[in-house]
Amino acid sequence: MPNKDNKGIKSNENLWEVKMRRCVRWLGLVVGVFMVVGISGVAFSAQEAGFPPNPPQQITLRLLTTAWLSPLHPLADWIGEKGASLYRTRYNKWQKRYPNVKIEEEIVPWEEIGKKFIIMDEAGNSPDVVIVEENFTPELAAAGRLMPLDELLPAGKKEDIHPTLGYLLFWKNQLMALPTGTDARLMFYRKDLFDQAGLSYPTADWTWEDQMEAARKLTFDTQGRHPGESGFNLDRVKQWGYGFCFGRTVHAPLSVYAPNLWQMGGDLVDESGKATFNSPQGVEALNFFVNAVNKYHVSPLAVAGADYPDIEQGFIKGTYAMVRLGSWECTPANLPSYIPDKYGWTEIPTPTDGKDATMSGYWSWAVSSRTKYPQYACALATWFTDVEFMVTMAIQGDLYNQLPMYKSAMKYLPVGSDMAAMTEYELRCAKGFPKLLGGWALWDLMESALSSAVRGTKSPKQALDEAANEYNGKYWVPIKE
Amino acid sequence: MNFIKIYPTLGKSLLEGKLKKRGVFIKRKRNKNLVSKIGIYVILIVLLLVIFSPIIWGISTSLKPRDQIFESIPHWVPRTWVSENYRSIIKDTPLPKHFGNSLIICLLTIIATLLISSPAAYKFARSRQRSMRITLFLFLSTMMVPGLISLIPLYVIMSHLHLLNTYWVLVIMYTGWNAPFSIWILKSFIETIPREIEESALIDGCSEFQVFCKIILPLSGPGLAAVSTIVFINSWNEFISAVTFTSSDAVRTVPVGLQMLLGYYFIRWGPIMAAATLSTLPALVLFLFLQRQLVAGLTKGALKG
Amino acid sequence: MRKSLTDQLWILPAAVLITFLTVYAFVFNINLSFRKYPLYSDIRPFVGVENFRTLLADYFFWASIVRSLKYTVSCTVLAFGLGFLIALLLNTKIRFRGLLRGLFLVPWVLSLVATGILFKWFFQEPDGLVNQYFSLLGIRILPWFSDPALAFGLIVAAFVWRMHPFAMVVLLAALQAVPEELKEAAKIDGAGVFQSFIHVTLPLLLGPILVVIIILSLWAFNTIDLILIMTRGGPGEATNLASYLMYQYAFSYWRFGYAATIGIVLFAVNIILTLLYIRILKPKV
Repeated sequence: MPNKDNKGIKSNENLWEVKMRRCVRWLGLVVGVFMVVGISGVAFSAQEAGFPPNPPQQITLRLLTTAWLSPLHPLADWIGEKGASLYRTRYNKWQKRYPNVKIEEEIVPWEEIGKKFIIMDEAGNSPDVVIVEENFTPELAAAGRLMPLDELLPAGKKEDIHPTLGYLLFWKNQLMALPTGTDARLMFYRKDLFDQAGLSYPTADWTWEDQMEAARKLTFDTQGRHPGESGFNLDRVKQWGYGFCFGRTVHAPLSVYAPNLWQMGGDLVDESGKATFNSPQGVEALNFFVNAVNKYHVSPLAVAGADYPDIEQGFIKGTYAMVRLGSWECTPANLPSYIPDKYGWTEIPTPTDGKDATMSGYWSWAVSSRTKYPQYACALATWFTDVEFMVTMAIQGDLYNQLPMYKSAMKYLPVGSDMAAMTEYELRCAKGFPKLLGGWALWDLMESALSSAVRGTKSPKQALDEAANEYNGKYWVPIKE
Repeated sequence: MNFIKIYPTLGKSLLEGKLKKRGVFIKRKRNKNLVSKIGIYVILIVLLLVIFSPIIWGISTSLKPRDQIFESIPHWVPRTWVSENYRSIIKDTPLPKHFGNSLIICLLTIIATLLISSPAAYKFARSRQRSMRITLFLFLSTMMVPGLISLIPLYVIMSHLHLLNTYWVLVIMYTGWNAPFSIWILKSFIETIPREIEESALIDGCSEFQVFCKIILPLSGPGLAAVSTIVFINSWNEFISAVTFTSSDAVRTVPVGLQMLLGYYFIRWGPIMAAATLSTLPALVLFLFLQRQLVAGLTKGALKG
Repeated sequence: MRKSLTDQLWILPAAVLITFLTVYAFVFNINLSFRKYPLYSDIRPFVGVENFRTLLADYFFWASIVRSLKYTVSCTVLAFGLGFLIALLLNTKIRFRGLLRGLFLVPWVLSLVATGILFKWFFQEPDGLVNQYFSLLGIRILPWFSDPALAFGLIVAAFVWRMHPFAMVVLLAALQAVPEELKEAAKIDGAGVFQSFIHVTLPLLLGPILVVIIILSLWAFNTIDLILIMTRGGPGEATNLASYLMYQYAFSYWRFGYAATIGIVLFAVNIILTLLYIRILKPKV
């Protein structure tokens, strides 16, 4: 710095130095130009990797999906007209862009997708693209049935996926599937029943105790007596305070039990996939539900075998004042078409000193490893999981079951809307299914444990211990990525 | 038969053809005991009501508007009658197309089953060879293979034969699965046809095939009707292989279409009940028309075991 | 020799089709049952009889076999009983017999999917139709799908509800074939209605009765759809039948090797039932 003025005075050496400097400058410039070109080239080619040009010849992509996740099938309209028409518009745009890529759909009932994909894949006849439930991806990825998408995706797409929700879509650090929108599990309450009981509506800061207290006031028998009062008749209950479902068909262990477990700081499985839900936190979480049925009598024994449709209908009929359901209940075909002004929702109450937690489930677009056109297959998946499109679809289609699960989603959502609030809740504290290779064995075992604890045939501790040991001994497969 | 040993004369004379006249006896012998008759009616009607209650409740639900489906006080008769659920199923879903597919598949299956099982049944009925008995047992034992475990291997075969997603794949499988049962019923039926007729025809110079076509088939009409009905019901309601081996609405059958109406996030109960009601109609119509033959066909087959 | 060859030609189409559909599938599954074949792995090592050994020690499997047998027995007895009762009532001289017979056949027409939907809809808890009536009548409402015994009862009821028309129609046909003269002869000999039924009608029906019983029990033993739609084996393990366990291992836990092993064992059980059936009906088959 002090020698700044002396620049260019020293003759020979200096001249050489100047030349050198010029040289370096030139070199720098050239390198710089190359770098700029290179970077933009890389960026450009990354864009290209996401969306290749229209193929010269006609190709056909086979898409295995179900009616309500289909861009083409007429039943999509029947199930939800608004969402389907947006889906179709998006599909028309795709066709305009790729006139030579024909999409051939294979539509099956949603429960059959996984089964059908395996059977097709076993026969060497797998579809190019498949839409699967997210908890299925690890097993498919582990067997090499799915195409890693990292090199085919546009830049930033992979990083945009919410890490805790989307983590089971990753296998060996490679992204194996692109998530669609997700749902969040919430607490729903009947405003009219709260008004009748003279209670104020639940809020996000409610604790388990608050909820139990309100539930007790909202439970009464045909004579109007509440649980705990003398003469309360458990066999003649007219209205129940709290409804949840431990039935086998809804992955209830996760949907209902896991948020409470996570709130307590426990977890379902550890990193190797071994069951750990029989921890003290797990027992505590289960006690909440067992007590609701057997100690406080605010939930019927029927919850042990109930599914989502059961408690949804009970909620509509006014049998339950509060229920644990999911954000999908706010879609037009659900609660709004039956009891439009009578329901409200809030976050799931937490234990004192506990943290917020909820659970999310979603479907994801995966590409078969057998596809002949990985680029186009991946482009199709990317096209329909575009963040802006998904947000538009969620908002315009009132699809509360399709909350965007990409980090960049929040900026598109209207501030103060239900959709934004749910998405914020879900991005803040939701977890998804654990990554497992034991199929659905864990859910079945847990369902047995939970329902037997609620029925009182086993203590919560004993039931959870038995299920965990059974799983770890018989079904657990170590996860080696 | 057992009763021939006990009542030799009566039993024999009956077996030789007086069986058909039983209607005469029934009409002639009027039961004078009115009380027991009323008792029978009462029991039958109570049973009918109990058995039909889920169906009636389903139909009732299908005729209600959406906001009356879930009510804390149940109404068997809808307070407001609507046809929108049925209209929605017929107009907005591919279910009518599935009906057509199901009908074609069932029809082809019935024809194919009758074509392959009636000659076999004829041979099994007339042959006294040990090898034939063993073959029949082997046929029947294929009914015992749990259908589920053949899904993957059959899918492999069918995909190599390029039969996936066609009517034929279902027709072939349904025919194969229904054949043992059908052969067995038809065999019992053909056994009741007296041999003398064929033998005289053979002596007159007819070939065995002619005998089969001109004598056996016309005489086993009720048996064929019975088999057709059972095959129809089995194929009309088959789900697991229908969903596995077909993939487009062009060949999809009704049970799969019905299952597809059940959404992941919500279930439209009204239209689904309407669809369930509609899905039973063809089989029901068939039953009402064919039940006389069905019962007659089984009557002959049944006593022979 | 030539005669027997032409004989075989008559059977050939059926034999070819049945063989085509079963033999490869069967061999495929035998092969599979000696392999470890989970979904998460792309190698399928040969493990010998390990699957069978595991199966022998598998408490869940044996419990489910016991459950299956219980289910089979109750379904068969009830469906048979109900079918027989209706057949007997319809075999009297009443009016509208044809219509009534047609109506009683209706549940058989319903697909299992529809049956499952109707039953869930009907017995929903705590406030499905049945429970609503229970509470209106002041009877204690029942946790239909939450109580193991009740849930088991429900899947039995659903089976009986759908399958009893089969028993009814076969037995009715058989009853109508019982010659009236025999009953009259018995009456002349001084036998009452009940005695004539026991000594004349019943021995005559023995063949059809056994057919119905065996076929019903085979259907019951192999039930999958109904459980899939109604309970999925829950609550707990209460409705987890062996056939459904096989389904779970194949398409829910994704262990095809073990599922094939269960399939082979179930096939053996079925064969034992068939042999029993053939043996009992030996004079006739």
